[in-house]
Amino acid sequence: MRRKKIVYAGLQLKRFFRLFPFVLIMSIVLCTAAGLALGKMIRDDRTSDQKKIMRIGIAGDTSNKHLQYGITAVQQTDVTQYSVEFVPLEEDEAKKEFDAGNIVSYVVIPEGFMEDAINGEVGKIKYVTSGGTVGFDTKITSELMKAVASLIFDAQRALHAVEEVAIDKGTEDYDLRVLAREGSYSLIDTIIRRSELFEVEEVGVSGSSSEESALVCGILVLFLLLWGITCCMILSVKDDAMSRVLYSKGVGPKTQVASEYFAYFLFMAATLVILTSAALLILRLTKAALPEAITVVLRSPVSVVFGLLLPILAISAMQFFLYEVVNGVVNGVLVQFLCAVGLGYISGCLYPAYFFPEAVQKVTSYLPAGAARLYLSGVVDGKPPLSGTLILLGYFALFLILSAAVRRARIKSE
Amino acid sequence: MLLEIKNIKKTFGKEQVLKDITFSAEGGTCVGILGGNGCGKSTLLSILAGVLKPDGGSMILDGHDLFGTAEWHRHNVGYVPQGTPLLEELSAKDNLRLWYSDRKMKEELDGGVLAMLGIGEFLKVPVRRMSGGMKKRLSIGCAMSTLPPVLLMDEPCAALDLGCKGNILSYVETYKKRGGLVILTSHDEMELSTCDRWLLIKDGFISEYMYDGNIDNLVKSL
Repeated sequence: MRRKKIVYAGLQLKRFFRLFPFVLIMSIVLCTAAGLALGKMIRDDRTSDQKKIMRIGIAGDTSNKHLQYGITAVQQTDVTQYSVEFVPLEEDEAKKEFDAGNIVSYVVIPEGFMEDAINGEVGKIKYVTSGGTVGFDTKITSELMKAVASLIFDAQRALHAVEEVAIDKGTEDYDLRVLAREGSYSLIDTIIRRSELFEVEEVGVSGSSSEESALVCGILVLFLLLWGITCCMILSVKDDAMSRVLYSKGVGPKTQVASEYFAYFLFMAATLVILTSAALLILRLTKAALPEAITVVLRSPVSVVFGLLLPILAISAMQFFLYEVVNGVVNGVLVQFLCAVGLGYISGCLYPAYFFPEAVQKVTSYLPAGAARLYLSGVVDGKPPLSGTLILLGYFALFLILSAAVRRARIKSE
Repeated sequence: MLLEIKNIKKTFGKEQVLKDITFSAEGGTCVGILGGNGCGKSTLLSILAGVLKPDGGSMILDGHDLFGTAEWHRHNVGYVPQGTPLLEELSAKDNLRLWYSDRKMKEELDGGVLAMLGIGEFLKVPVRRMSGGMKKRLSIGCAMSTLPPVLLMDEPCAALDLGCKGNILSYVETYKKRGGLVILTSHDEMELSTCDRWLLIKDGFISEYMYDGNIDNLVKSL
C-alpha cells in the first residue's frame, strides 16, 4: 500500500514535468508581458508631465499668516513629483472625507504651532493616513522637505538681494542694511539652525516598504495567481474512474489529494523559483538604470525567492481546490482567470490598495492574494509578518481539506 | 470458488436504490447485471468494488466476508469502472507501474495476463494517443494486477468498435476458463451473449432473467 502511494506521487510529478516545455514557453510570454508592463508603468510614473494630484486635508490652527504663506507656497511649488492640494477642513470633516476616500491623508496642526516654532519649541503635527498607503508618508514628507528647503533658500537670497540693492544705490540708510542683516540672523536663528521644526505623529501608518516595491510584490502575486492556468491541461480534465479505482484499492481521497497537490506544488515552486532566480540574475547582471522598485527586491534576491515559497504553498492550494471543483479545460481556465483577476484587483495587485475603501483593504488583507502580497512586502523589508505567515498556512490547510472533501464526494457520488 | 452476495441495501437521500440484493455465483462463469438507466447497476458494482459502503449486507468469498477485511477485498476483487481509470499523459508502462512491481510486470508481459491482453504492443504509447480498445485493455490489465478471482466490469464494451469488443470479450472467455468470476453490467448484445447468467434489477430488487437473445423481450422486462 505504501509503495502504491509513493509510486502514485511519483507518477503525478512525472505528469506535471511532462508539461514543462509548454510552461516554459508560457512563462517567457507571461514574464515578458509582466516585465514590459511594469517597466512602462514605472517609467511613465517617473517621466510623466502630468502630475498626480494628491488631496490632503489640513485641519487645526492654520490662522497664522506665515503658515498660510507656507501652505500656499507648497501648493504652488514645482519641485515635487506630485501636485499637492491642501483642503482646509475641520478635524471631524477631515476624518469623514478621509474615510470616504476623498482625501488621501490629513494633517492636524496643533493650536499655537507657529508661535511655538518661533519660540524654539518643537510642535507635534498629527498626520493621518491609511495602512494601505505604504511609503506614501515618507514620500510626502520628503517632498515637503524639498519645498521647505527651497523656500528658506529663496528667502535668504531675497534678504541678501535687498542688502545688495541698498549698497548699490549708495544709500546711507544704515537702518535698512542693519534691518536686512538682522533679518538674516533671525532666519538663521529661528529656522536654519534648528534641525527639527516639527514632529510628525503618524496615525494608522503601517508597513515600511515603498509604494513601488509593494507594486512589484503585487505583480508577483498576480503572476502566481495567473500561473495556475498553466496546469489546466492536467488538473481540469478529470475522470473520476481513476479516483474510484484508487479508492477501491485503499488509496483514499486524502492520499490522492496530498499526492497530486504535492506534485503540483513542487512543479509550481520549482518552475517559479527557477524563473524568478533567472529574472533577478539577469536584472542584476544588466545593472541598467533599474527602477527603485526592482533594486529594492534585488537587495535581497535569495530571501525574495525563498519568500515566494509560502505564497506559492497557499495560492497553489487555492488553485488546486478550484480545479477540484470544476471540470473541463474551458471551465478550469475561466475560473482560474476570473479568480486571479478578481482577487488580484481587490487585493491591490493591479492598483495600489489605498484606491479602495479602508473596509475593503482590511478584508482583502485576510484573503489569499492580499495576505500573500503583504507577506511578500514584509519579506522584501526583511520582516515577514507572523500574521501573514499564519493566514497563508491556514489557507493552505483549508484548501487541501476542502479539496479532499470534494474528491470524496465525487468518488462517492451516485 | 463461490461468491455470495447477501441482503445488500443502499439508500441515497430518501431514495432506496437497492432494497435487498441477494445472489450467488461460482468461479468460471460470467454474470450479466441488467436493468434500465438509474436502476442501481453501477451502484451495486461500486458496492461490490468497495467504493461505496452498503447500508447493510455482506459479500462472502469462499467463507470470508470481504466487506469486513479490506486487504482481503483489495486482493480478491478487480474493478474496471466506466470511463478511463488511467493517467492520460503517461505511457501504458507508467500506468502499469502503479499496480505492478517491475519484476511482476516483466513476468506478466512475458506470458501472463498482460501478454494475453496484448499490452506489450503499445507499452510506450501515451494513454491520450491510444484507441478506446487499447485503453480498455490497459484498464483491465491494471485491474488484474493481483490476479483476482473476481472481476467487476461496468459496461466494458461501451463505445468500442466490433473488433475491440471482440478482443475484450475473448479475454473474458479466457479469464472464465481459468476459473475466474466476471460480473458485468451491460446493455450490449455481444456482452450479454458472453454471459452464462443474467440478473435483472428492477425497483431495487434483483431476480434471475432468462435472456433469449431477443432484445425486444429484454426491453419489455426493464
